[in-house]
Amino acid sequence: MNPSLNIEVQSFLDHCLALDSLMCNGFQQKNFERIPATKAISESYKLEMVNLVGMRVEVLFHPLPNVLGVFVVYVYSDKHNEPINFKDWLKKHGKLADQNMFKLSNYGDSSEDRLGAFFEHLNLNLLDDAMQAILRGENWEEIPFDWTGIK
Amino acid sequence: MGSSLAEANSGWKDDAAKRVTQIERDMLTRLDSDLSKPILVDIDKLLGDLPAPRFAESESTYKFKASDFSATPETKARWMREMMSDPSVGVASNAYKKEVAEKLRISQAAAQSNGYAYAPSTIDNPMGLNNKDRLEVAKYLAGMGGMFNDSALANFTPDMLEQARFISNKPIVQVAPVSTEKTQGVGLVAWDGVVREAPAVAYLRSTGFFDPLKNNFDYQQAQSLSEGLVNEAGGAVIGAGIKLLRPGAQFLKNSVLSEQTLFRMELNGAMQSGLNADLRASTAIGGLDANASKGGINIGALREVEINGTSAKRILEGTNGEIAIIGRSMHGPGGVVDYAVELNRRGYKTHLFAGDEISAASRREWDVLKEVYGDSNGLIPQYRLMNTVGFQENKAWAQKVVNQGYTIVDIGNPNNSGFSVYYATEKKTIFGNVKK
Repeated sequence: MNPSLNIEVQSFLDHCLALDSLMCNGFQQKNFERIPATKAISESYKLEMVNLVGMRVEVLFHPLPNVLGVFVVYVYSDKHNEPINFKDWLKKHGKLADQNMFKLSNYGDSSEDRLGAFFEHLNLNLLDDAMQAILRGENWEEIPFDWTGIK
Repeated sequence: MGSSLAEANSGWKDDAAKRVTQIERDMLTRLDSDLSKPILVDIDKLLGDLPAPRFAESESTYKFKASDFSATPETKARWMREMMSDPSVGVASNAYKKEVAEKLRISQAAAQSNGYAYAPSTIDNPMGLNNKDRLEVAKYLAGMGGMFNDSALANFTPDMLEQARFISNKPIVQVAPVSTEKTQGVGLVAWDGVVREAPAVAYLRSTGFFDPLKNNFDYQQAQSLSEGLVNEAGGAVIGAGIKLLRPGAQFLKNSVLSEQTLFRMELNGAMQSGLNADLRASTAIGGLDANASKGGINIGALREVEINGTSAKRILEGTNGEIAIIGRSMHGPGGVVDYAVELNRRGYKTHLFAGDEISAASRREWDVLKEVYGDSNGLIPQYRLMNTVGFQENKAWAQKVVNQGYTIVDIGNPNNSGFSVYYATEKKTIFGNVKK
């Protein structure tokens, strides 16, 4: 346990590193860092995990009081420039059951319950066969950056 | 950690509910004070000082000359144009601001005499709002008083956040210009012969807060310079209202001024596009032929390229033999991606603000904003984007393609989508205006 991290961030890190969906594909921690606040958003925490076939998964945790925090999950490949935003991927495949899936406020009663429930849900979604093929480096999909119609 | 968050969240609900009640009460009082000052512009005098439209005698002459606007610095047109083109005017504290504020007094009678009117304005009801709407404005102004500042918002539950958004979005509509007549169709400013959506209407639609068509909003097509001016003055009215707020309202002032910055870009664009259309040179000027090749690119042939009805609306000729493409939409029919694919197929080398041009930091920031502030479609309020890494990268990209001599094709807005701060900035950076 890293003494410089607060309990919630440490828990986020622990849950990430215990995701079966990633462990089974050989993902290991490469980097964990605090991303300082920008002019537009407050600070975030980023965990990068890599495996031996050139795949990289980045889980971003952005703590926020009002929604208790949000997550963004990216899948990168050494062979492609643009990452896959996992939420956009789920949406494209019609598998995003809940728009608020990546909001912590959508889960549980206590902080630990929420984190546990979120990562359990994330794990199940990452275990999707098509996504597993991507994580094993056997397949890739182009998911255009979602400008949400603003651009 | 978890239980303390839950407890704190519960506490926020109670605390916030109490504050809403108290601040609504306080702000109703403050609203009476702040808005009891009539906001009137001497439209007759303003119009009297503007040059009359002069129409082209041939294709190679101008409808207007730039000097018509700039060579008479004492005219009332000057301050209005300056205010439109300089967002800092809205926040500057100087004699000029006082001058603008003084002159921003919309005369209801004058406006009506031009066949265009704001809702009735009286001392008791200065903005022409009914009691319900005044209450909404009060809630909005309550936000300006500090209720909806960043730290307070951070404490809001999702439901309260939604309410705050709703409250803070609504009253802008109420101070927009309205006509005494209803007309079907899209509001157009046609006083100078240039057909375009009225800035006020375009702005309201683009914010996503309010669609004049869907909401049966009263407006009419501006058929004259005077009507067009009243229409465009709508933004000034909003600005004047904000200026009247007390200093303690700074946070949301800034927020709304960011919205105003967008609005002014739109207004400025409308004004600039009018001038550009008026100053349009004939193809013979400079001895250049429209089909001449430049930088290895046949501009004439490029103009002919059409993909499902989408074609170049304007082209800035470059020198490096490559093409950068901008447009209102990225993906789908009428988007720059489809257009670029077709150009690539025809052998052109194209360049877009996409892929590697968008940094990882920019993606993260965007996706977090989308998650936190996005609506059900992920749409982020555009004023929140102006401080983002991505916005700065987009602006830098636009400057880069100019500096590096790309031929730049603007395919416009074939889908008639709402205002985009990204597209507007690209146009402003590349072409010097935000012409539609």
